[in-house]
Amino acid sequence: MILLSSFLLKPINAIFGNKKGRGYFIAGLVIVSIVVLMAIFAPFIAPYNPTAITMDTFSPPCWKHIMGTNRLGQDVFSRIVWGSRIILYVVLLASSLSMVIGIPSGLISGYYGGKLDRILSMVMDSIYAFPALILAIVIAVVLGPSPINAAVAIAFVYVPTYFRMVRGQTLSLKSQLFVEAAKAIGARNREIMFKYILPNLIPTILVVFSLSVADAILTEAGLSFLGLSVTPPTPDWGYDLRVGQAFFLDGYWWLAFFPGLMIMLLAMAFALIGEALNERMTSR
Amino acid sequence: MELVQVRNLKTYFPVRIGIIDALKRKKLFVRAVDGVSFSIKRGEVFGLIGESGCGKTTLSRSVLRLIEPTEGEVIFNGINILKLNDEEMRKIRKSMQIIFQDPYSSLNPKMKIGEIIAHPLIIHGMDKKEAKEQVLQMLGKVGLTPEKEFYERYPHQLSGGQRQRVAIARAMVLNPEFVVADEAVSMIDVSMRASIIELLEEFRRMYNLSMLFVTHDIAIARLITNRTAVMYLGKIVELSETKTLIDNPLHPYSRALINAAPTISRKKDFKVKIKGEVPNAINPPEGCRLSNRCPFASEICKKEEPELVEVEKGHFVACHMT
Repeated sequence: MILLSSFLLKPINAIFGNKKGRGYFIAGLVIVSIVVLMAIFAPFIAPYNPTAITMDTFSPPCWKHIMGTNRLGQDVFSRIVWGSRIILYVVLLASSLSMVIGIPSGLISGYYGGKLDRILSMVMDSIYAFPALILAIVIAVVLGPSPINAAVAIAFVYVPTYFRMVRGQTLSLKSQLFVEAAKAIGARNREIMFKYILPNLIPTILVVFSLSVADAILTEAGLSFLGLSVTPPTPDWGYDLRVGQAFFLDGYWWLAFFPGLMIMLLAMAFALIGEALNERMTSR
Repeated sequence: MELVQVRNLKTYFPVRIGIIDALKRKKLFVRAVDGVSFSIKRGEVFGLIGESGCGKTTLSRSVLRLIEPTEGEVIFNGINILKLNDEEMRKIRKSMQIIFQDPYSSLNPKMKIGEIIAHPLIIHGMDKKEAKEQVLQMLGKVGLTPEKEFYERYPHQLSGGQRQRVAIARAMVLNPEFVVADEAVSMIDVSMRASIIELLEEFRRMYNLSMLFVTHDIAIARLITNRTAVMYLGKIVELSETKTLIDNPLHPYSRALINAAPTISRKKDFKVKIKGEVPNAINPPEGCRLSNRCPFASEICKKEEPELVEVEKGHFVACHMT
């Protein structure tokens, strides 16, 4: 265990040294790793079948059910463990989609400029002008409830975040001497964009990625809270939170508390990582 | 034999204008390079001197078409490169290279030294293995030894002088016929300058290179250039053999420039002082561009723009007063 942790700390120390943000980064990383491990090893971790309906309803947290059971007698802890799969799947799929669209379009827009840039920027700005959650809800409603549709809706909302950042950075990198040097040696535009500009964007992309994943987690939870992601009885944090909150005032606090806590923790963990990286980047 | 001929080259940049000017449909331009002609022979080092803001850098970029010139011709090996399409231009870049002033920003921080120097070769169709061979040889030639170690390093691990050697290697690895050195040593530590200049001179001798050597340092121009042009506000005001130019400058601006160069013992004092700053290139003075600062200016200077005329063999001056 000590060996393992020292092995993991090495790269972290290499990035952060003793600088500010190291603690945030480690805290965020630990929480994210726990959730990821939970998702991967769900069948081995969850003590019960998350969808099995039993007679043991509304049991408060106890040794048998450490997070209690819900109105159908399902084990809340097992549902949390399995639910991590859905939220990670939707959020990571969404973020990859937004990156795949946002990064190249930002690069091209910033690099070539001109009319194309003006049109793309206008489109992206108008998407950006909408509140993220409301726009995602509208798209998810139009597409119909399913995890993939939720991911598409979330992806659409976060494309401008990547686009704007990449475009801005490309504009400033474009005027750097090494880009002119690449032109002078006869590099094609494609090579300049992907070999000279993009690698210099990766640190910023990482920051934007962590921060927008944190945001996307809340949006995903919002969508599934409204029943726009998974269909019951699939375990899902947002959905369980919605069902659980109806019983909150009846004293069955654990139904809403644990899914809510997990959503908050996961969002916070990504935000911590993002903030720590950002801190590191700007303090150089 | 002339390798590079520049004819009446003009590079104007549009200026962002206010709404009133826009309504009047008035277009304003910075005339960074305003009708420049010169030619460079094979194996010759052609110097370009002038104070900052006179258009030297724009001219050096325009000659390589890194900035698109507005008008004129740049004839390289008998081909007007301003008429070439993108693909043809890309190919001809193999034989015309540039070394930039600032070695801190001219190297991609995310590429290894080896990759930086190999990329030009790979772009022009060499396979990776052969390119690596060549790069290692090149590293040796520019004095970055042990070669294998430098190959794996990143720019931030190198000093300014070493970085400039990398930039030189990147330019020379393609075996160019023509190289522009844009203030290539002015940001290098003084103690390293001589060795960098020696390196450039060695390449010139070995490959019969032609060079356009842009500088504001007259001492360096004297050291390396064969002929030199003095530039003021987008125009060449004097052009001659470097030695003649420094010993016997005819244009008042050249005299002032050479006078201003700090030396330990001065042989001659040309007794010319030019006051004030370079006027902006949007509205250059009418007539001779120096007329508002020149101590010898007369009526004609304010009305008519002087032509570049040959006053003695190979010595051209643009001044009404000579």
